Amino acid sequence: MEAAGVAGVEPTRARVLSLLAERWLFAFLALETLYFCFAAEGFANPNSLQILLFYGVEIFLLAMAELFVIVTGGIDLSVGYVLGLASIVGTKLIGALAGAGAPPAAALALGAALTLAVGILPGLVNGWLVAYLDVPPFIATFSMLGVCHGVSELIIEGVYAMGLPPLAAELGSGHLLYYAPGAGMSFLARPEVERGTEVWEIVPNVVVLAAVVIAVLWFALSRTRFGRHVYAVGGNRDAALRAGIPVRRRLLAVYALSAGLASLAGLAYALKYVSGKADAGAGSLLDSIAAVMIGGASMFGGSGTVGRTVAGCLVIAVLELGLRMRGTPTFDKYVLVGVILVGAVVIERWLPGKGR
Amino acid sequence: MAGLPGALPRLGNGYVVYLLPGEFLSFLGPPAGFPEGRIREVWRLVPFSLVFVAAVLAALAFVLRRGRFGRHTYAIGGSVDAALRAGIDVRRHLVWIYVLASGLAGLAGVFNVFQTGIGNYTTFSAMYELFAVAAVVIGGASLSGGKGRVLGSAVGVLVLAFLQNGLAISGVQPFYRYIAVGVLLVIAVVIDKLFPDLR
Repeated sequence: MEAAGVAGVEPTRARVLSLLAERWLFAFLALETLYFCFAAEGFANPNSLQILLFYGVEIFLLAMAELFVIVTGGIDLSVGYVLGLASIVGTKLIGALAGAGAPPAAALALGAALTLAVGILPGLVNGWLVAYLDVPPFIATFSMLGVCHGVSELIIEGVYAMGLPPLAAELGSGHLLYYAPGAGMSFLARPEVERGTEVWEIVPNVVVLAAVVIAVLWFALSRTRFGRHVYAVGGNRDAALRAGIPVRRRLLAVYALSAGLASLAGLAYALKYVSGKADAGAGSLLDSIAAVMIGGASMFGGSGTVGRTVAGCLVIAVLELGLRMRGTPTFDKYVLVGVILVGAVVIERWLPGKGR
Repeated sequence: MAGLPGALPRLGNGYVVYLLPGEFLSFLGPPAGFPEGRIREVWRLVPFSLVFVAAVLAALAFVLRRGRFGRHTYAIGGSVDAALRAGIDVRRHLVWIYVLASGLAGLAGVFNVFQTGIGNYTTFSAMYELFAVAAVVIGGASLSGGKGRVLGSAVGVLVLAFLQNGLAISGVQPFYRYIAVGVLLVIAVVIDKLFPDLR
């Protein structure tokens, strides 16, 4: 602004355009939300936000997984079925541990840790194939999609994985904070009040989990050396190599992270729905990639941020809930997500100031 | 089947040659008056779907290998800059490529209606796009462009189809098939990378 003042009057049109390029996504999100507040009955309610965050947890986590991979210039098609695999493995492991007499909390913690350890394996294989054998990410992760799908179905043999202890359901559909007017607040546990008394449920636990993870990832991508390396690898692999960045190790780490996040999403799914199934995340794959793209990341790598990816997820989540509350058929969502996606890419491509 | 003329499913599921050794050899259908109950004894050879696919593939192979359209397609995939400098209208060509892709998908959809008699936007075709890409890569094309042939892609499709069908017939659980396809795909690409001279 200072420079513009000195140099004279900066053309207003250029200023508006560059501001638009920078902020259009947030403006779009605000307009979209405003539209549904008027168009969908009951949408203008703080609870809607909780609902869309609660149901969107998997998409948020998968989009984060996708973001890191896309920043390196790759793509991970396997996250949806890694989610499914983790939901099954998690359910079975936690159920088995609880069934063997472990206290529910310990079973949950140990089972979740083991599930994450198992869930990272597909990512390590993906990363090894991409980084060390130069297999195109599309092929490596598509193969892993098939393998994870097959292994999941073999484990559950065509039925849902079940058997989680009741504590899992309490955590998965529980909230961080409860407030009963008159009876006071309580954390994590629903206060003891008479039946029929109004209790405010504030912030679902799984949303807290996702928020913490996203905050950590934001820090990792924008404030640490690892994050800078990820951008460097995606921006120009040769330059990154010459700058002494261990490109292959970073790629391996990014794919492992991606599978780890997908497994976390699978655990969140298992806690939310108290079951696991192979195609639990199959439908979320394209949504999560779309969210990253709407957030302005380039398929060629080197760009994309956590904040804008979150905004991209919100655009999709608001659309989904808004349309549902309006009573529009779900299929309209697919069409609209596609249109918004193309619009976003065109805007990113043609508006000025794309120095990110 | 509602709304479809009865001839369409016959077209989609018919065969060119019907042969019952010692009794008859007829084309395009069993002889008139042949009892419906004995149709399983008849040797049915060369399905219409094969003729149809072969014709389309032959046309595409001709266009891709012999025509200017095909040469331009390889040129763009090899190097967009070089193609531009050679005077190829890259944008226009790309539009036509995508039109062709969507037209072929439409053709597949129409043939699917001929075979099944119903229109269904998913279920049958779920994940077909990924398998299609896999087949093309197994067939030796490169995802970075400039390489690939119709025959190779057809072989890629056959590899996947033989694998799926063979495992199904030998009674392997369907879930192993997903795993097998995935593993095979990676092996194909790794071989491709390890022996660049084979191309």
